[in-house]
Amino acid sequence: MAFIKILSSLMIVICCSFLGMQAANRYSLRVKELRLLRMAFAHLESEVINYANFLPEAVERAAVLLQGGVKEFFNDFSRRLQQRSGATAAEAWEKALRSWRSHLHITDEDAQILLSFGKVLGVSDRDSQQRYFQIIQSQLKSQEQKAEEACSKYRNMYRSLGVLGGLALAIILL
Amino acid sequence: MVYSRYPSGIAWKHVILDVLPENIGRIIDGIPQDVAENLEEIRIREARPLIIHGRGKSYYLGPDGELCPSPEKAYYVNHSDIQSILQRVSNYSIYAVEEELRNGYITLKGGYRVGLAGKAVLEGGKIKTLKYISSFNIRICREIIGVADKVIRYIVSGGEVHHTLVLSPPQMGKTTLIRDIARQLSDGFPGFRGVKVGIVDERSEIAGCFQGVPQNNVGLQTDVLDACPKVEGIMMLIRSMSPAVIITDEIGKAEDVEAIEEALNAGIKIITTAHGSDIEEARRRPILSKILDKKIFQRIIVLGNSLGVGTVEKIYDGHTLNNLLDRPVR
Repeated sequence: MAFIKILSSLMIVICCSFLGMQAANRYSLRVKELRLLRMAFAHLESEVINYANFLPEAVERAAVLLQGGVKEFFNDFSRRLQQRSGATAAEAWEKALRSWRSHLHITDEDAQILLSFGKVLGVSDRDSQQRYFQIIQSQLKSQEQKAEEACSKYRNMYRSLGVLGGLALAIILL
Repeated sequence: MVYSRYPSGIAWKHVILDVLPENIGRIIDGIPQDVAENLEEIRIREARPLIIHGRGKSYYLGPDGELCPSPEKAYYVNHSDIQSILQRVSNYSIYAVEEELRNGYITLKGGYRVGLAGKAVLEGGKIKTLKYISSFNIRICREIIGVADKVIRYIVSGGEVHHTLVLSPPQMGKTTLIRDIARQLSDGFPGFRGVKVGIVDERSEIAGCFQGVPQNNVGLQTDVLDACPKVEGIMMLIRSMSPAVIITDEIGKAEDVEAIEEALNAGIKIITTAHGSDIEEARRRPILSKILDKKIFQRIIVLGNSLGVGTVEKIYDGHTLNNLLDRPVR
């Protein structure tokens, strides 16, 4: 009997720690994704401004350097443009973002920034496109700083919370 | 060349339907076959009915592509249609077609051209770009291989190409004719070995280049300077591509004359076009009359439509001004 009690307590502690880790990881993944997005926009900016490549190919090229959910999101957007499935680029951007949103760890605020950038992507001359790219990159940068702060604040907290909460639960149940 | 699943008469559908939003695409796809085969223009204007032109007639289009006699039952184009078309013809990249917007048209794959009209944005008195674009004119050009057969023996005699001017009112097949002349001079034909041909295609109409590659058959030995101003283009070709013949469209500016003389001095033959229904009318325009007085051109071909679009009305000997044709041919 005691053996089973110990085993189940151990399970509880492990599970809670795991959940805590996951919650903590969300913060560091968000920082990573925001950084990737900023890199993607810097790359896309050079494709658009310096080479004046058409948007579908420009996005495809920018996606090469990416990874994970951000890469899939960019690839999906490029695919939608190439198939001309959306009436406008903004529509394709929004659809791609909505379908990959759940695979990303960004917050609603981050998503809103991306969404509004989609509305201006490709629709104006080079000068104003450059300004939009600068704006989105500085916005993402400040989001990234916020995310880093949140990350250092909450990551350890959630980790310890997981372990300690698990321990507490085990003790209560014992 | 564009390969498509459509028969050759409506090969344009492949490209054109791709740049239209679904609803308008469906309407255009529903045009009766015989009209589609001879379609020349699709006119799309915001808040106004969809209109097509072909064989000298125009039709309003209904919501299923049926031809309407009056505008009441026609499909009216709305703002989001226009926005969608603009994004699609620019391949979702307005920033990449700035130059094209300044010129007022975008060339699609296959050499089809989309003319645009809206509000001009000026900078220092020059057009910087267009905004509030509200009208599209999708022109379905057709290259007609062999259309120059009836004139080519007047342009080439004894293995020698003559300086030639094609005079014609708009939409009478000037460009179609010189495109085929370019092809025949470049590829050669029985009794004539092909020569190197250079085309200065200021308005991307002759060769219909898409990303630099001619979409029309302009010949095996033809180099195309796409979207290049005529004067600079002629100079560039003389310097770099050593053509035997330079072909260009629509002369009429003072500096064009200098460029042509430059080419003459380099021993290069010139084939070009100008607006005008006959020599007398062309003489009334100062620049053209100057060119005609100098007797630069050895052949002057006049197009008209006395036997239908593209009729060769007269071919003058440029020196004697005698008409070499007994009667118009088509």
